This record gives sequence, C-alpha cells and structure tokens, in this order.
Amino acid sequence: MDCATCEKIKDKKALIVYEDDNLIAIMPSKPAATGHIKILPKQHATKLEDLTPEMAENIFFLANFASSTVFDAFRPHGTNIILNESDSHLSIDVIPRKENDGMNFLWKPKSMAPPVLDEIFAKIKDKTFTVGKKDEMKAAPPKEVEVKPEEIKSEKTADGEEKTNYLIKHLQRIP
Amino acid sequence: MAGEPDFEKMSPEEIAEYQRQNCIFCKIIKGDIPSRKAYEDDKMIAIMDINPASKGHLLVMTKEHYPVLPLIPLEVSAHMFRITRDLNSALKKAMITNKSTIFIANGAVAGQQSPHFLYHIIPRESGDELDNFNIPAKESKEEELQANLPILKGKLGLMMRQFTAMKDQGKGAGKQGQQPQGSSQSVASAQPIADHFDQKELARVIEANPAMKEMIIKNPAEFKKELEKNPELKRLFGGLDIDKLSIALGSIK
Repeated sequence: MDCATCEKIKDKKALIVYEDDNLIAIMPSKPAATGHIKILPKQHATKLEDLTPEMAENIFFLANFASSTVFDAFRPHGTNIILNESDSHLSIDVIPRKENDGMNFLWKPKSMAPPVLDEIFAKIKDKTFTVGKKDEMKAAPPKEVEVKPEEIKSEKTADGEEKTNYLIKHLQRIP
Repeated sequence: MAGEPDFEKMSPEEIAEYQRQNCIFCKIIKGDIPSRKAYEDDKMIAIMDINPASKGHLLVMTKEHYPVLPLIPLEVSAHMFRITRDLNSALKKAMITNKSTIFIANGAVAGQQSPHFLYHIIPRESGDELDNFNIPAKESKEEELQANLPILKGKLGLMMRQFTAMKDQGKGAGKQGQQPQGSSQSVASAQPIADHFDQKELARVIEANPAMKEMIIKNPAEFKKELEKNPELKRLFGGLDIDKLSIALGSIK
C-alpha cells in the first residue's frame, strides 16, 4: 500500500472529529478555514463508485451533519461540501464560508448551443438509463427466503421421499 | 420588484408556498419549463445545466421543494445519495472521463443560487480550467485546531448516533425518517437551533449540577434569563419548554 492517507488513517495521525467502522472525519492540519472538516473512507478508494451504495449514502450524510455541526459551532454564513475525485484517496471537504473570506469555488459558465447540449444529452442518456434499476430488483427478494420450515416439511410425499428443493435445505442450514 | 408580496405579513407556510409557486426548478419538475432529464424517479431528478461548467454538468435535486439540504427528509436524501453514486459513475462513462467533482453550496455566500436545494455533478478532465474546485490549504496553529476539536467532536458524534438510531428504527418499523435534531436550521433565516442532547444526557447534566437543578425548579423564569446569557447552556436545552421541565423536575423527589 503506497497511499500516504491510508497510512495516516491507520496510525491515527490526525485530529479525529468522528470515526466509525468505515468512515473517518478529521480536521486537516492545513484547513481552508476555521472549522474545515475532511471526511474520508477508511478503506482505500479513489472514486465514489468504489464505495458500496450504503457507504456512499453514509459519507454524504456525514458531510451533511458535519456541515450542520460547523454551522452551530462557528456560525458561518454558509458551507461548501466538495468531493473532488482524483487518483488519490477519496475525500469530501466541508468548508465554512463567510462574506469576503477570499475563497471562490464558482466556475465560469460555458454557453453551449442547444444542438451541442442535445448531442451530449444523447450520450448521457445512453449510460444513465439503467441507473436506479438495480434497486428495483433488490426490492423484490427471491421467494425462497420467505419459505417457513413447516412448509418445507409438508413437502414430503406419501412414500417418505423428501422432495425438498436442495436450495431450500441449504438455506435452512444458514443460521 | 413589482408584484412582490409583503413577506412580513405572511406566515412561514405562506412564504414557502410563494417560493414554490415561483421556483423555476419546481416548474421544470412539473414540465412547465422544458429540460434535458438525465435521470428521474418519484423522489428526485437530474437535469443538464444549460450553462455548464463542463460537458455533462448535471443538477441533482429533489422533486419536492426544500430550501436547504438539512430539511430534506432522511429517506429522500438517502435515496438521492445512493442514486448520485450510480449517476456519477454512468455520467463519467458517457463523458469518457474517470473524474468528477460533486459540489454542494449551502447559503448564498457559498454559491447557492437557487432557493430549491440542488447540487452539481461536474465531469472533470485534466486542463479543464476548473482549478477553482481545488481546496485551499492555509497554515494553521496546532493549538487553535486542538481548541476547536472538542466542540466539533461532541456535536457531530451526537448527530451520527441519532442518525444511526433513526436508521435502525426506520428499518424495524418502516417509519419515515426525519433529520436528527440540530440539522434543521435554515441557512437563510438562521433560526434558533433545537439541538438539545437526548433526555438521558440532559438528565445527567442536571443531576451533576444541583444548583442549576434547584434554579430550574424554584425559579424557571430566572433560569430562562440565564439561558439567554449563556449560548452553550441554551444549546444544551435547545427547544425544551423550561416551565414544563421545572414542573417535571419538581415532581421527582
């Protein structure tokens, strides 16, 4: 492992604001502003999709709560939550903002002609049409799981031959 | 502006309704204003920004109008965050890049331009001139950081515990999740924050301070004045009704 961030997390060489099994929130030694909190997954990851869906959910919640915490503690006028993907250890920065604090994260908007936008849109739709579909499959669990032991027993035929599906028997073995 | 109603005479609900009716994103969601929808379900939507920071810049938002992130119900934001993971991945494939920036602004100072809370997914590539997203790093004194640590630690730890408890509860009963206490402040109005500790912790604090306990029981009015003077204490007692607390404490002997 060549990741300096992983080493720091392992050695706990940071001011730790929060930590659980998967996530850690620290105060960076060189903050953008007073109250700056950096949130990282403990396991090495560089892209958002490297995290499980649950961890991705939790890292944003942690960032959201870190933002509320900072609002309470330092009374800033706003906060930014920024996730910059790169090739190094993934992190989300929560930065308190004040009027005239010298920071500016805003971009210069590009003007694009509708046909150009339409062309990009076609490319995006080509990849995003499956997003969210996996969840629907998960929402309907396989029926075998709901089979009760009594029902399985009743499947024995008159001559005592056990007709129970071996898959269901296997399921019963799982504690 | 002409035709602007008198907000001072309106209830918070009426103001919220006015904002909804005049919200450009609510109109986009309803379909009154056309947009390029990269993703849509019953809770949320992601549309293309027509003046993007880069090719493929998406705006992600809830269908319901919420002014700030902490006001979005837990189960809605949880869904939105999970979809964001997959949407970001698909978007990068479409734009043939392996990087993006996810940008959230709370408050106008931070760059929040819309009263309908939304965030940005911006595909990145090297030399894209979006260096503005780089996080500044300033020299800071270790002691200063150390001094702020306990404040942040206590509060964030508490919020995460409440969040985990609520999630577990939600799983058991299929209950609709609400954001933990203390996350409900509005950026625009900076209302007082009801982020009192849970009752057990508060009871412990009261028991540890007999003088304070006596004051709450015998002189709740005086105690309320103390709260106004002491923001830390006020935070601890957050939205609690001191008069009720006084009667409750007085009845326990």
